[in-house]
Amino acid sequence: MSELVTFLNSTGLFNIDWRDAIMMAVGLILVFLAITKQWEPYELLPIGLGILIVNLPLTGVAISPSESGGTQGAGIFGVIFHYGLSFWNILPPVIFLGIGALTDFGPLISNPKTLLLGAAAQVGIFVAFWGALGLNFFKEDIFSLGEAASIGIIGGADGPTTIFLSANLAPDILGITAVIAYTYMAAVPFIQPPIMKLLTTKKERSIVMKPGREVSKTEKMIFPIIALIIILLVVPKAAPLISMLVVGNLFKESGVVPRLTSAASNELLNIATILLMLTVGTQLQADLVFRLETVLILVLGLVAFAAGTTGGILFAKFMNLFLKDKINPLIGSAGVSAVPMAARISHHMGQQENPNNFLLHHALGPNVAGVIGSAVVAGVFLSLIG
Amino acid sequence: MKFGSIGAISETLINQSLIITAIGAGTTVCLLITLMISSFLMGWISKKLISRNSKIAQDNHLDTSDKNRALAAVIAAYILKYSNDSYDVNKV
Repeated sequence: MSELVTFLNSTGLFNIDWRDAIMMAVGLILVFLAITKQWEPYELLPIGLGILIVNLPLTGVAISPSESGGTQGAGIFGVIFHYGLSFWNILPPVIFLGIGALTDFGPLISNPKTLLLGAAAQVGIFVAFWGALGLNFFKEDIFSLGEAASIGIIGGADGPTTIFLSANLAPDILGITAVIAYTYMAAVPFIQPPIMKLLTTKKERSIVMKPGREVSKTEKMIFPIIALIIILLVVPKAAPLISMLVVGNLFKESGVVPRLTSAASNELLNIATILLMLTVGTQLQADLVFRLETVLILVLGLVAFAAGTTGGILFAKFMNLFLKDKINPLIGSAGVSAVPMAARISHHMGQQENPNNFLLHHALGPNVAGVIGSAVVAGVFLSLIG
Repeated sequence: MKFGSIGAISETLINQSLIITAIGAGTTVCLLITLMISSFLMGWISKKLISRNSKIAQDNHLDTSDKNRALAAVIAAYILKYSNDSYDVNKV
């Protein structure tokens, strides 16, 4: 009889908490959204499954080697989290390698002015950074400097960069910042359009931009090398992200290593995505989520996205005061990375006003600039806080 | 929940955050402006190279045409000379 009691006590059914049940429901909602609505399915499906698995009681899948006192006592996701993120932090750079192999710098090189829009959209990072620090005014020591930086970087709308920085500066809130970043990236079609409409006139949204010049293959190879040297000479801490981005891109643009390009943009990227997203999901355990801090990060993340979008659009309008060939301010919102979703939103919004307006190519410039910009800001945060 | 006063944020933290913001924003803007200038320069050089290459190609094309014309003239003169010889009434 005592064995039966012991067995029953060891089951999840007897140990489930209402908070676990809610988190399992959250995981299932993400799975549902990924499958039925196809919202960032490559991210939200594994994250949702990770949340579901980790909140099933007593599975121990998220116990890290440092907590278990030995590798064998650690859970599978704890091991991946430990070696892939908190201890070595290799997964975000591997994802950047794949992103590099898929990135085309052509739109950026053909219209270099769009780099400024990528810079302007980073304002969201600093707004959220100060918002997080400002909350200390109401509740003492709610967010440290490192945590404020990790929350701020959500405004960069770049998942791997958010994870990279959080793993370094605030591993305790890594799961939350990562999930919020990806959730808001998936929600870009709902967050950005109202702000874009509010800040632009119909006439501005109808601006047709001149097609960019043709960019040679040589230029596409020289630009990333120049960017690599210039950025890393100033912000060496951004090396894991920027160098991998450039390596992946040169694989592609050189055209001499098609197998490596294919491996980086397919197999490697897919493997890293599976491991990273599942692990991020498993960081969302009930006891970490049901806290005031989580709700505040959720709000700050939204503020960061909105501020970044606003910054990009307003700066595009400001640039138009001086430019002969006007730029459509809608492409300013694409400065908040979220590649290529934000660029697509700019394109669709432009087509709603003028069906013959093709903004996608133009919007990819600030979009890629946003990736570089947020990686630079992450590097600066690491240099000064890490 | 313990709510603090304005003193809950230390002056050191504020100063440090201001410095981080200034350096972070400043570095990002400066780096992206540097990249923008590099891209403009690259585009300018690329345009120059393209126009120079096309000019050289055009010159080469002209040289080839001139050579062809000269060769044609020589051949024509040669043919005429020998054709005149063949129809020289004195020789017949």
